[in-house]
Amino acid sequence: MIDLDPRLESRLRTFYEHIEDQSPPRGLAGATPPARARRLSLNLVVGVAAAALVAAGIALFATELHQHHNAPPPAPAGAGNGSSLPNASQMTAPLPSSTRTLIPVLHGQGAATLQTFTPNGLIFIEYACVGDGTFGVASTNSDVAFNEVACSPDGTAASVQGVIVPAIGPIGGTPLTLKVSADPATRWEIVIADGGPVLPGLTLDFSSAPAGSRVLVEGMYGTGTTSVGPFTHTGPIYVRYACTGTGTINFAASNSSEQIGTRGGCLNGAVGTALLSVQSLKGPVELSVGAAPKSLWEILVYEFPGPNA
Amino acid sequence: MIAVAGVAQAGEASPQRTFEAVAIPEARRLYSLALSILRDEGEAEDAVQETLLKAWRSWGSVSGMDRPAAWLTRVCVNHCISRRRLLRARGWPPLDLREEAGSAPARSSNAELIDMDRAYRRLSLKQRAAITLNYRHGYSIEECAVFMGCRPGTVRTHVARGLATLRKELIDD
Repeated sequence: MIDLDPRLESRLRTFYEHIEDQSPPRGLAGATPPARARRLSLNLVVGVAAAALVAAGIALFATELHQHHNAPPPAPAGAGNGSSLPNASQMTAPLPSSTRTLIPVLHGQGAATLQTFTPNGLIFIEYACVGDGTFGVASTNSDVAFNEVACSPDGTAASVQGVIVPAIGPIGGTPLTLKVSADPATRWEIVIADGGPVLPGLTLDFSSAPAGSRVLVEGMYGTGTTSVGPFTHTGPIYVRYACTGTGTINFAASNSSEQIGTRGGCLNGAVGTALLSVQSLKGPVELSVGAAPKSLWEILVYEFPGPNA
Repeated sequence: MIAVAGVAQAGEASPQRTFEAVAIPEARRLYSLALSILRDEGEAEDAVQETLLKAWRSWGSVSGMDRPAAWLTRVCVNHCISRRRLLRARGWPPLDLREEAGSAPARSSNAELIDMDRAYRRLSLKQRAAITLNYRHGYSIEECAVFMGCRPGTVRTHVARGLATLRKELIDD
């Protein structure tokens, strides 16, 4: 046990008592199994890499497609979707208000092929599933795929999860057909939307950071609060950003011992640049980007290397 | 899969227990622990959710451990200190924003609590974890080292430096 002087011991004890008096959120206090934490961001690089996952999934889908022929077609949510899957409003709640619905909330079981749509901007795929197996989504043309995830066990409440896929290159503006892969007994819901050309920031050319600068974090999309990095730097950190809505977007860079931060305004997607620091943080640095939960943002982080670079 | 080495051994003679009976009652303790380390209610909730999720997914082995609570503690602490999110320390965001955010100490009229909170937020996450586990939860330095995945000497350093920072900050106030 720590040997403390009485004054500090008293203040520390009072401080901890105060913390422990705070009740946990109701969601934690309930006697229900946990929901998966939502992580809704996809680095462009990851997006491209994700496409490669389809190759490995082709063989699996051959099997899944066979199962699909015997599976009931997906139906609009609410038609007997079971109490353990989120309702339609819960499914759409994470979507930024500026998004356009491409496929309304659907309820399905097992493998299925979804209606073809033509996305622009970012594709938002929100899903929830219940069953002993896994759940995955991939496009028929191999441009979109994300790895299969484990579903919530039967009898538990499934939470809404999501990914964002940049509809760029071969994806943007061309028809896309997604297939759901799931075990025959796995029940799921899905809703798909796109951001459309809502963010002027989407026109940011991620490869064109200012002359003389060095890119620390490649262009990245996200919603709410997410950490990126780590990276190392030798000069001032700049964040070029754009975010939906009119709230604030906070940036904080930290290493193992210190941290610095600044903030910017979300002016309905206008592009801004924030100077995060004028001094260097030693060692690996992580950058936390924080905005309102439904605010969609994108960032490009760069520096002008210092003399010690 | 979560590494459990050093905390408990799976497959021992303990009877299988249900998740609801063992893990859910730990939620409040884990939340206080996470809140002590992270000083952010949302982050703390995330940490507990992640911990319970990992427990749920590994319940087949966790339920057979002698001390599933210790396993939960270790997972929670590791999650907290690996976040590296020190958003609220070093005066960022400013105190007025913290008050707006509605954190209890900042709302409190107790100036000492606010001072303590401000000083505490200047500690690194590992310093907070070490002090919380050792001082508040009464774990030995060796147990803290297991929870934090480091050597006992490192825990001692975190505790000493954290307390030194608190003393300095509170004297400066």
